[in-house]
Amino acid sequence: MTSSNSTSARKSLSRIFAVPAVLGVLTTIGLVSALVGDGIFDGLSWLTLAAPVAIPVYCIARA
Amino acid sequence: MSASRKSFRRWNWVHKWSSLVCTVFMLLLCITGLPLIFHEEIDELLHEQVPAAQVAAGTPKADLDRVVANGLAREPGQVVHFLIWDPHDANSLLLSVGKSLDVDPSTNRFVRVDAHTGEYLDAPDVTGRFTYIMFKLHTDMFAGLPGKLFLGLMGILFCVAIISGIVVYAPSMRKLSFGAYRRDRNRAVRWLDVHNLAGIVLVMWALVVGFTGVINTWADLVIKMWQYGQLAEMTSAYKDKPLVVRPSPIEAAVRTALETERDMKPSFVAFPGTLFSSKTHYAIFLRGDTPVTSRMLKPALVDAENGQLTDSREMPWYVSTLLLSQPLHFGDYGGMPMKIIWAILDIFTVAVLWTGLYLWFRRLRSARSVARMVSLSNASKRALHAS
Repeated sequence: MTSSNSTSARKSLSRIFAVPAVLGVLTTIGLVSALVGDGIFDGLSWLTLAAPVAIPVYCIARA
Repeated sequence: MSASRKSFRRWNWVHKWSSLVCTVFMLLLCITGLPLIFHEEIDELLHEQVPAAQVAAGTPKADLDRVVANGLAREPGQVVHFLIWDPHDANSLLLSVGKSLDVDPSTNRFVRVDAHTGEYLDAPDVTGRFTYIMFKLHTDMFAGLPGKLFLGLMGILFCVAIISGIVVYAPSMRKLSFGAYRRDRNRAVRWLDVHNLAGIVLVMWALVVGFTGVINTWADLVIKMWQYGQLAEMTSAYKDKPLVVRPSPIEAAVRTALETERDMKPSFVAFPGTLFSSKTHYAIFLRGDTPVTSRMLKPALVDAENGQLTDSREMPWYVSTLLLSQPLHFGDYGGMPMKIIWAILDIFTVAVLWTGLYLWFRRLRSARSVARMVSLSNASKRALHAS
């Protein structure tokens, strides 16, 4: 968290929700793909569902 | 007050109260749900069971009538409700048995029988198990259908809290980057950041798990709907018949059912007079082979008086919705890595609930202290005037 971030101008809704929207899509892909099949579909599911696991950990660790 | 300010306050109110009402129950659900993700592994670790014979591929299965007879021989006074192909072990079959056909099948015991030798394995009492206690706390808090429906209501509030949380997330992030964590600030700020970050990241997963959980609380009602709907239609010509006296062989009935769908496998058989069948039919529930279709059941009704197929239909949408909502709630359809992801996201949810509760408590306290200061200053002003 740098000081430039907290003093920067007010952000638009699309900027605020850009990352959350991507995460929402990734989560959806992860939840659906493992339903569709096994093997590669499971792998895709683990990969995409790892995003909501890893991102908060990364954000807090780097701060 | 501007319109947007007003609407923010309204959403804030919705977020605060929907969360506050359900938080304690959501904490209970998250904590009891955590071990349930791994219930098979925990049961395997804590409880011995007689293993089924390991056989070479292609070994013929035991005759199902012998399986049922062998299972019942060791359980005098019990009747079979359901014959179930163990979803976790292709070498064993489960008999769900109760004192009579009228008892609530959720209180039934499971008798395990070897699928190849047809030998009785064991009939463990699961009701004292750790996983059973967690399961009961998680599904109905030992309060039956009212408990279930109550938890379903809490689940709906949880979904409302998530959606209103998205709305109030925006104004609080106006001046912050995504993922901001103000490490050097006091706990209230740090925990607000954790609440916002974990909350927004979890939105989709928590909505899916939350809402499919709500759907699961309606299972009993869905089953009743199916009984009085599709099942009643399929067996309407038989509705006045008494319970079949000498039922036809189960093995033949299952073979007849399998002929209707050659690509499907048997999931379970409901015996005549039980919850999932008529008094004169075996209901053989068939399933597919993929993660989705293995949960989608297709019932075939076989007349237990003559062994003839009566009808076979796709389940109505409301049953399919329930069946599909189960894996999405349990997280058991993508192997161990998915279970671990489920567990971590569950723990993140606890963090969101806990930080939310803390933030509310902080604000309550500071609002009180402001109120106290205001009343003190009013009192001193009055004192000043009086003097």
